[in-house]
Amino acid sequence: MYANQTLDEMAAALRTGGCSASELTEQALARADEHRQLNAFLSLDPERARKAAKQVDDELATGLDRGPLHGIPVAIKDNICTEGLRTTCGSQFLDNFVPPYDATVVQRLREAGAVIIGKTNLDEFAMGSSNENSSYGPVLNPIDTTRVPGGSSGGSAAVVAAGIVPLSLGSDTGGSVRQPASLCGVVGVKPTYGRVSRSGLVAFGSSLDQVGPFATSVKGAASLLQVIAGGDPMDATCPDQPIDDWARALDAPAQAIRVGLPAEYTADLNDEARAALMAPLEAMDNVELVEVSLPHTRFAIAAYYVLASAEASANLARFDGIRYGVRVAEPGADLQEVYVASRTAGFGPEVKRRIMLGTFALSAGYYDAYYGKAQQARAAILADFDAAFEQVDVIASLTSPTTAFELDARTEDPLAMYLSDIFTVPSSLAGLPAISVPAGTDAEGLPWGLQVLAPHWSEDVMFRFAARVERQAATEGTAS
Amino acid sequence: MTAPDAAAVAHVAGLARLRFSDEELARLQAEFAAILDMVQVLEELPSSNDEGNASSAPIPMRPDAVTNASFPDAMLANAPDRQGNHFRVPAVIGGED
Repeated sequence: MYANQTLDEMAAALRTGGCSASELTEQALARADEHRQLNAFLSLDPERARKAAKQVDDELATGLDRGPLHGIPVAIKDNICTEGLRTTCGSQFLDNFVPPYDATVVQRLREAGAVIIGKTNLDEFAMGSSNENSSYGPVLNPIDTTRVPGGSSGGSAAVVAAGIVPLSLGSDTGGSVRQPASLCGVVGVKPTYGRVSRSGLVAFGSSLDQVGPFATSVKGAASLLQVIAGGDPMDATCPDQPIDDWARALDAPAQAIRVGLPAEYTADLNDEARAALMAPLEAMDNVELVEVSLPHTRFAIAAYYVLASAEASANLARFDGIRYGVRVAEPGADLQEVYVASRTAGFGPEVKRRIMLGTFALSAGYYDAYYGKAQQARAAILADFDAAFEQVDVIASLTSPTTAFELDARTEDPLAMYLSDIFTVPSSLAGLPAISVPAGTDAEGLPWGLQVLAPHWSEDVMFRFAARVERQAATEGTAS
Repeated sequence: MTAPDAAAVAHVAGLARLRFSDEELARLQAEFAAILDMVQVLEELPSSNDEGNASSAPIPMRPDAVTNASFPDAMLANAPDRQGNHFRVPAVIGGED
């Protein structure tokens, strides 16, 4: 359905009587049911979705138009709080947690008239790159159900790829929107750090976390980001910054652009991967390809896993069995014993591993060697990007070094899983905006994603170039 | 930097308020060794007292004003145990540390 229908076409149909919001919502709910085997949803909210859709139909009938998302069915990653709708973070720890408030991004979606149909599966507390760390079982990749959808926002990527909804929200700490977007063949955006409020997003790595959109097109992603972006007094890291009409700007004629190719990101690519990256770039007009260097890239994964784990160990200290979630209390147990028993029962293996790693990196005697060094690496990585953006307007790379891998292929080796994020982690550390756009398929028909990075707050430049990549990839897809 | 031994991993587990079986601790110790081996690359960075500052924008401040109202039922709706308008907790006295 949605694969052949753009957001603009759906919006037009809603306004000309071609379809109603209620019909779109019923269609989304029916497709969610058809695709149950993907395990992409953790909760559906049919009753409120139908009510919201009915309200949209009434509003449009009376001439009240809330813009491009009015009446569009959307899905939300289950680590983003929704008032009155269970929010588990993919963890049995929060199996029965029902938030008392909406996240700021959810409030903004409701105000824009979007219809929230449900909450999507994820790696527990957003820690993972394959969605295999969920307490509720893995999500399957809709393109090939023997393969992972990527992670941690695997459910949000899968529901868009399967055509259940045209838009969804995920969260990206080290690549958790972009990598699943790449593996599922959809568009995914990590905005500039601070572009989108994190109020109501359950915290993982607070200096890295950003909420970001999934969509079937660059324009859809831009439309969704415009709605959720912008300053929020509830999140001190989210300042007021100008938000342009990024979606509309995509229709402007393409201008000459300098595209940086980091030597460190292309050196180890095999021929097939290199061709996936270079074919669309080399075929475009008005593109000057410039080799750039990001010499501190080799420190990125190490720095990321120290910093993200350190922040996670602090953020997840709040899950203690006292105010919400699992409480395990043996008769006569004191407070300390309740903390230990509740956390031990509630968290899964990868979450425990990262809490342990982070606690270790912050502990006396190790702080300077790990946390301090990782911060130093982070500053050097940011300086690399600043220098590169003196020479080029955007940077291009693959989003993931591989296409979707098979279920269970990497679950026994945490390090191999961490390396899935090699191309997404550096820009997360630097706080840059980044997007993954589908760019062709491998010999087995699995999608590659091309990542575009831009300077801080330059989503406009990022979206415009991403739309050109999208058009080019579509041309090649038609030609082959 | 050498990887922590079993006793050190057990100490970290205590700090993290987590409990592991001996078998789990042994596996964690091996995984730690592999992860810290990967992290070892950070030692190649030149010595510096400056941790750097990777934040991209100054963090704005807002007035320190009360903005929330009192919703005890909403706040306590997820409480595992409750007494009146309070979270009920086990005895605080006891334990080690």
